[in-house]
Amino acid sequence: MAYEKPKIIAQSTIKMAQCRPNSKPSGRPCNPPGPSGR
Amino acid sequence: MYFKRKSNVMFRNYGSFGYITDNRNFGYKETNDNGNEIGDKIVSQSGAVFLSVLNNMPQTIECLSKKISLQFTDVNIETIKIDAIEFYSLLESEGFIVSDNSLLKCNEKDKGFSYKKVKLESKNEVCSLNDEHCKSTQVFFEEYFNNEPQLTNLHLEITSQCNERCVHCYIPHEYKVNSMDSDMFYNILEQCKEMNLLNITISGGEPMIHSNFIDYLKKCNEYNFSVNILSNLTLLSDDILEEMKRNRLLSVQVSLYSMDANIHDSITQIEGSFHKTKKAILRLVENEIPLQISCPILKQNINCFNDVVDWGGKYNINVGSDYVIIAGYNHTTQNLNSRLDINDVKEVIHQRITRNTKYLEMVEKEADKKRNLSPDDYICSVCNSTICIAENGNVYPCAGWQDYVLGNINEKLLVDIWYNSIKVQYLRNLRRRDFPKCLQCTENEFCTMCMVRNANEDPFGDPLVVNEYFCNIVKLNKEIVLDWKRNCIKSRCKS
Repeated sequence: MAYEKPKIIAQSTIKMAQCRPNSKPSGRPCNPPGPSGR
Repeated sequence: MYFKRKSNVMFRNYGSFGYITDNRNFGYKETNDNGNEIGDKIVSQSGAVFLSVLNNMPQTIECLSKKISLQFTDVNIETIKIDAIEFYSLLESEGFIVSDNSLLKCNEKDKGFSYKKVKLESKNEVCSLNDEHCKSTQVFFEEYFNNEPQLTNLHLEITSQCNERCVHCYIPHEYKVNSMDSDMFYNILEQCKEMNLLNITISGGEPMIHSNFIDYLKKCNEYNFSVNILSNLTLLSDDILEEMKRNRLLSVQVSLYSMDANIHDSITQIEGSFHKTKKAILRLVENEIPLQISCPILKQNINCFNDVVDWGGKYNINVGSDYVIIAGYNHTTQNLNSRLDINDVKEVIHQRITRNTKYLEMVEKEADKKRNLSPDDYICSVCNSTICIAENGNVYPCAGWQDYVLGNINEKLLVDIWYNSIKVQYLRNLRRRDFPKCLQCTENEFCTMCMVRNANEDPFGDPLVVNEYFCNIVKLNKEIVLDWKRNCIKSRCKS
């Protein structure tokens, strides 16, 4: 591999997905409780 | 000088680039020393080599430079060393790496989660580097993979068995009988590693019932997956707690329905469950294990769910309360008997407004965002970044939608199902335009479409049949917001 100085090429601090599959409040599979009463 | 990757950080080497991320999808947001959220970054091909030699153990810069030099023949080790110190130091300032002249101090700097720190708000949500670097990681992935969806999150139901019988559960109680065998579990994990997956949710049933639960956690840790455990915690043992403490990429989600033991136990239908769950929650807090309490709001606890919110607040525990209950996946809807009716929901919303003066502003802000959505926007992350596997190997779209089988892991590789299943492709290609009634709806900016809500309540399991119960809640929300805005205008006119 040809050497190049290492660099950062993209970044973010926002969530990659709006829907959180890990969240199971009230047996509901996605989206944490939102203020819009979803 | 010693360097190490922080224990709550994940790294994936894609060969032509590298991806480094904090554990942001779970639990609590973490910040670096400057108060910025840590977030994620894509690094160049050589950057991926520099990061791939780091792990959770401190290593000297000399040792790291030597490992890196094995990958390059056209550069001397001194240049690598200088570049490595510069690169690692940049990532240290962003919160991904720690360094120190002493090995001991390097480990000490890798501080874990603490409930004492969770009130710290992040000062800044934007990138802290120069703008020229600021292509978002999401855009990078979309361009690199030409919009081909990448699986990042897997929900794994390691057992359907449960020691509670919660009245609202979407898994029919008669189906709570089987557990995933270890061959299947380890095989799935191997496949996830190949697919560069990040997050695994270990669920059930009650996952702690599984005799291999601790071994499964160990394996997830070894593979650098972040793990979220959905459990009632009644079976928490010393051994499980010890393993949880070892894993800095682990978080827990538990349901607590009321601070009145009788009410909690009437929902779980198991006497004594409240005391066990509450005691276990406090043990996790004491041991600084990130935990989120979910408090589903049902007819049984509508008058006391806020006690759970207040109790969690005392310990800095994140508590989510929510009245959304989905039907069981066999479409019988028996589990909806405890679900709030529209008047109950109205009462809950008014309670929220009373307790949080900013609540309606937040609702309005959310609605503003949705006004910009187009018919071509996708519905949710189902089959775009997430998928689930049941204890029998059935692959299904999202938790609660077990009867919509996309394939079986005993017959096909997960990667094959992810890219080639006709059902996966069908769900992946659905867009907002596929819900024409919703596109025309005058309240749609207050709605979040959820296909499993539709499918489970429809006798034929059709995700496109819109669930009217939730339409009524959306109407109610809009009415309340409009009333509030009218009153604001009136009071402004008076003053």
